[in-house]
Amino acid sequence: MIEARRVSYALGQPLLDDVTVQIAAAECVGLTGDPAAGAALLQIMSGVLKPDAGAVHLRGLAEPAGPRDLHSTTAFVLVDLTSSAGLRVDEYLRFISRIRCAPQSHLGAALSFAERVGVRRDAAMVNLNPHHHLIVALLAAMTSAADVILVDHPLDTLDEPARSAAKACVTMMRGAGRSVVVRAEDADILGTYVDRMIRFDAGRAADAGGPLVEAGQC
Amino acid sequence: MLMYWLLWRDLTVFTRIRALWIVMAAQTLFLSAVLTTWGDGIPALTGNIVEQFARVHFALSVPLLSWIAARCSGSRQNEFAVLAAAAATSPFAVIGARAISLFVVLAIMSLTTLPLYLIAVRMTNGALGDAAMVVTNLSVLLLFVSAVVTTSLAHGQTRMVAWLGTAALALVVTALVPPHLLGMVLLVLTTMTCAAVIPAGRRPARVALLLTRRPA
Repeated sequence: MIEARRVSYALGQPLLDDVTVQIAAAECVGLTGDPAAGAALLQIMSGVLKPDAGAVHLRGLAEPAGPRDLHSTTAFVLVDLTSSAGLRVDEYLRFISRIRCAPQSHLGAALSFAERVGVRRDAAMVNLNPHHHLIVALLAAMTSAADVILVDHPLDTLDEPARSAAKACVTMMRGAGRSVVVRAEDADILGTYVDRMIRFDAGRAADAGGPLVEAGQC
Repeated sequence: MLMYWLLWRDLTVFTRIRALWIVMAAQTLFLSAVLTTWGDGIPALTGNIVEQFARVHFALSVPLLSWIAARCSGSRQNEFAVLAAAAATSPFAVIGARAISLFVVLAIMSLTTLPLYLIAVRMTNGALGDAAMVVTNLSVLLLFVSAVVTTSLAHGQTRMVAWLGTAALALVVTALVPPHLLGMVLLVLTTMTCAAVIPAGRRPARVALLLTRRPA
């Protein structure tokens, strides 16, 4: 589905050094280890950041994907009030849904899901607790027509009800054939969500638990 | 559609900022009081009523418009990058939409003073040409303020710096440039400001987003 191929990125120090990561359709992959490296990879895959070297490829194509392709294929989940401050939950979801030209049914499903997990649709986004804020951010990604959901927030820091809701959200997205990549700090909790984990250490990526591989594939 | 929804988001958020409506009401009340109190002419100011009223209006509205523009914009330095990431679009679209929506808000705020100009024109028995020039200058001033505040924030400045910098620049220009040249000078400065936004549209996404996530 999406592949970051031989990607390098430095910001003062190398965060990613010749890293290759492949994500298959409907696969859920967790990123552990250096959080800055995981964040950089997610932002490169979403087209927010341009890598210093390497490129991102979509659907096995030989041609590297441009920012526009990445924007339309991926949804970047960022828990940040900046984009939603001043809006209500339903307004924010409608904004993301419309701006990403998603089908109306996605928005309806997201709003229903929000109410089921206790997030009122007329609640102001600024008044939501951080856990509910992440749920709404995940739902915003769900309303988009993106094939790859990139979650730049550790799901393992959520409280139990919110974690269950997030897990249900991820399951729904995978059921719709979407790939999900999540960042996390606790590998044990992350293990309950994901098919496999990738650990970042000193700019290198490795299958979690396995030996570090130089320029290897994960 | 992209621009429509970005504008919808910005304008929805802006219209919920109470300070905007309070400042708008206070400005209209103050200018009405000026016109009522000094209907025969403001002491120490030369020119007809329209020219005198325009001078008071500009002196008051330049800092107010700049403040409202900065207040309506977000408080975070990486706001444009975050919004672009959430909306899956380029920072340029977000910056452009922000400048347009700020212009719309400032125009609404300034529209409330137009009836006062009509009253001033009647008081001077028809200085319509002067009033038309003031309205033209005011429109370009709104463009200028929207562009400078947006560009300052896109370059990572704080709201305070954006407000004070824009207000100081606009006050200097309006004080030094004669009224018949003011519109043109502000238009040139606005164009230069728009050109300065190009590097800002590329930079913040790269730096600001990642910096917030670096480990301590």
